[in-house]
Amino acid sequence: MTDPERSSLLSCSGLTFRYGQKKAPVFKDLTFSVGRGEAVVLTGPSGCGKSTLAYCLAGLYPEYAGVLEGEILVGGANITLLPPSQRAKRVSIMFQNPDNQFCMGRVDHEILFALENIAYSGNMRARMRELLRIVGLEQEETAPIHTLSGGTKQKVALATAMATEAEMLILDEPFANVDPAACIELAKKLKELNRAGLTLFIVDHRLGYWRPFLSWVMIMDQNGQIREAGIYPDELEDRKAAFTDRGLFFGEEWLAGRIPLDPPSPAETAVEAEDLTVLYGRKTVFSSLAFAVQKGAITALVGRNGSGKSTLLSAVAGLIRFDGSLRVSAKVGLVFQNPRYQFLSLKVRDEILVTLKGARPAMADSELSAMAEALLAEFGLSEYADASPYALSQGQQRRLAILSMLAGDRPIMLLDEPTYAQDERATRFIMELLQKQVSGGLTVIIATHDFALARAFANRIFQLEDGAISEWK
Amino acid sequence: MDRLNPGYKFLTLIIASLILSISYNIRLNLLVFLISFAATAFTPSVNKKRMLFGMLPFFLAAAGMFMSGFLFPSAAEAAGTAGILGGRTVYVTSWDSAMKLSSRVLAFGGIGMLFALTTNSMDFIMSLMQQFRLPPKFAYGLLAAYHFFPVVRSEYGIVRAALAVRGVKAGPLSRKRIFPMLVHALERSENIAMAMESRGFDNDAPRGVAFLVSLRKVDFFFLFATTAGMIAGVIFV
Repeated sequence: MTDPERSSLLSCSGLTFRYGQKKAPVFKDLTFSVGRGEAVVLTGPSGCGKSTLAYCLAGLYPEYAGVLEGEILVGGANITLLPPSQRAKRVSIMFQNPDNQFCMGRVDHEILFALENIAYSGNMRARMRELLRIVGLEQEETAPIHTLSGGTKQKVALATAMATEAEMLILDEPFANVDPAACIELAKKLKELNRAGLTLFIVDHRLGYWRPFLSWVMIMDQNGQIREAGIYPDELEDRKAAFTDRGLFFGEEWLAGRIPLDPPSPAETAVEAEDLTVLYGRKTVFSSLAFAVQKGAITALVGRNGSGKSTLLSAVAGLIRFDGSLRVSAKVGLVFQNPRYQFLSLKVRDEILVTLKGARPAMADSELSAMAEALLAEFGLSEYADASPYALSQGQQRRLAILSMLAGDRPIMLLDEPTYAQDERATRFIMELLQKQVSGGLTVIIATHDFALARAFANRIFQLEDGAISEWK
Repeated sequence: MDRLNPGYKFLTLIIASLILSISYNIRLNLLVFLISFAATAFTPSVNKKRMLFGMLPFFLAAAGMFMSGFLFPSAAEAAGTAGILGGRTVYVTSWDSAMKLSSRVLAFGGIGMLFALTTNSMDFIMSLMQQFRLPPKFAYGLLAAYHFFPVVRSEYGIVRAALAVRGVKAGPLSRKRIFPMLVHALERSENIAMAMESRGFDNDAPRGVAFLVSLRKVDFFFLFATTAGMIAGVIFV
């Protein structure tokens, strides 16, 4: 499994994890090891337990949740027995969500905080500047963290993880909420760090960014079992079926040959904007936008992070103030970029019921429940009906958020990055479902970074850049 | 004022307030207020507009105390009728008790304002940790909570949007709104705690100090001078 000439840095044996004493295990009897200096990618279907394993390897579980059996050794030391200050010197983690991982307000303070934690004996400020230089953020030294984009926040997170001088870095879908340009930069930095000796354990749905430097790939199946391991880069093409059979991404081939469905004719307009301007404080997000969205068709909105896509969707959904005119022919539903913000209840089933009740106030509860169950089954979330929405994986949460909105039967549906953090099967499912609904008359606007996705599914593509909109032909 | 050690400044002002509280002297109260006001106003880093705005609440409170002391004296205090005001009998002693009450509000308000406007909250918490041995757990917990306020505001907006897009009606303080906010807040807190730990945060391990808050002779001088001045004020003013 590992290069016999390299000693192993991470070694797991008999790992079994459950969220509660009586619950079914997320994974059972996992045994594998990672060599020093390797970059290993763990992939698997959405919700199989990849992130859970990542948190166990980082020592965060079972402290924060669940029960763990088995042993995790990093550099010979048992991770779960080490106190945080010792643990951080061996292994650190980069989280999926760029928000909610910083306790200080400023970039430099956050890195200094990490240096304080490990009682760094040299000049802390000099070291902090050096770390910022490595990730390319020298200009942002005193920037308040909440003003930064997702990609920049992840760079700060990377610098903070490096500050603790960890031998191994665990990455839990670090690019799930980051735009492609920033992903490429981050991947490059990680490749350099890996070449310099940092061991990486990467959990991701897509191999694209990692292929240039990964050591080998591990595949986890739906039950948390490691079915394939030690797939080396030169074997990847031959082993393609191992990925595609499980509904995992393997390049962009799943989009091959797909063309958007024909829009209805005669064309009717569902959303029309003229001279649309939105300000955020004193900053202009975009100004004097003019566009029209056709009813019963899929329209894509592309643009880099920070270009204002989410803001535009919020304006169309009637959630924020704007100047200019915006005519909307029917009620609008919106699926947020961060699915957790969508949730209003503590059970998956109740989430669906909230929307159903809002849309059909006159219907009897028993009928609503039956509808909810049917919808859950269609989305593959039946077994989680009684679980908390916050306990689902990010991919499952996104499906739930989309499902909760679709249940409302609003004729116009806006989706902000609907395919983030999904495996191929789930992505295909969502897009095909949207297509089905669109044939039935739904109007869809998707904000996405995935240009290939937009080309394959959207009838029209608008590009938002520098506060202006243009149609991409 | 803003370069004094915040922890010791806090200690000094607490002691000063305690000493002041044993006296009930109008002149001393007003003197304390004027000195606090001057000290705050002459500190270069203080935003004068914010200062005037911040004074508004306790000026209102002082005015309120004045009115209640003036118009509603207790029977034992009422002596020496001075006149009629709006159907109520007003006494000479009422002016005295009204001034005592309101000047007290001004004095303590002034001290509070002096501390609040001349102190950087992060330096204050670091000072508590460095000079007063506050455990890192509490210090950083306080700091994280302090950074949480803008988050609560944005959370309100997020939940408002989530309710709006689902067509759910909820009043400003309804359970349907507060509940998701609380759940989100709990989740954020847990994520931040996990992140802090993964960066090596450990309450029990020795820490380095990057945000050094220095303690100088002038801090002790301020402590003794203010305490002595306050005691002198209580005795002589």
